[in-house]
Amino acid sequence: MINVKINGQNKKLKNKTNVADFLKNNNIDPIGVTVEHNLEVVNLENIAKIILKEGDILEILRFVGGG
Amino acid sequence: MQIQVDLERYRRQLLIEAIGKSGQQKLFDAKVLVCGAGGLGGPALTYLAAAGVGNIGLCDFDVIEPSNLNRQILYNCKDIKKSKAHIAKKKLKKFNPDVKIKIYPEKLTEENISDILKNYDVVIDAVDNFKSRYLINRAAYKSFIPLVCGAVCELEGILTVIIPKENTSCLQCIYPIKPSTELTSKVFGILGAIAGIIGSLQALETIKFILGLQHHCLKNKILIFNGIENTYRIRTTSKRKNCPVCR
Repeated sequence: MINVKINGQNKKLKNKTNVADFLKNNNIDPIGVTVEHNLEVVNLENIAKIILKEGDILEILRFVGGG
Repeated sequence: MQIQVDLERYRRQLLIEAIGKSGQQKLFDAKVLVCGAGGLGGPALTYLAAAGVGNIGLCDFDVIEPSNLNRQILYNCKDIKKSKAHIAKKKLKKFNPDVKIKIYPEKLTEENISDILKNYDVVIDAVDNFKSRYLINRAAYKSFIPLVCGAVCELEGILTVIIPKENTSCLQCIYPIKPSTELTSKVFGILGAIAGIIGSLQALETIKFILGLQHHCLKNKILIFNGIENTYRIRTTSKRKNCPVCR
């Protein structure tokens, strides 16, 4: 079990997972969001390379631009 | 300029300690530009005018379409195909004749934006696309004009306040990577009630700034409202060292 913080909330992940799979498993389309991993913005092409580890902080902010 | 208007209209807000007569005078003297007179701009403009913000600029080049009417509360069926800027001005003047309203029924561009912005104390970003949002953010930061950004998408909304003179983080710190063309060309759903909440909060943050309560404004923070879960999350934002706008 891995303890991570997603959008300010503590979560437990059962298995090691990368950011791309995390988004997919949570029905989040990567092109619609900005992702920060441990306060660093992640380029979309790199999200599959980042494996979430104990204590990681992930911020997923949807592109909200309508008015 | 001293208030020459009947204060009875403002009696209930004059009772608020943070406003009073001196705050009302500040509101009456203030100059606020609202970019976009749609789902966000409608409630923002309405509450600014209601509060007696004395000088309002309104920038929108669009005409009213039937599909606007689920959320753009300044307009009705008789206004279809008419200029948003002209109709909004007419409605707001009827609502509060004390307020001076200048309209800019033109598209904001790199060429005209600085000339328009320079006349205002605060700018509200209530547009409907990222290209214009980035443009307004750049120009406001460069001109040291505070910017109140609001945006909605489906049942979510966001709000943040950018104060260049205090060197706060900017919109491009929050969204450093521009959305893909695929995303920007997609048409999203918007519910009027969500735009109403965010637009009203934009008016509130603007009024707070005018009253000198900027320490309470959402600077270096972003509010994320989720209408499904009824949650308001406030997240800290920070300046990015490589931000092309505010570094």
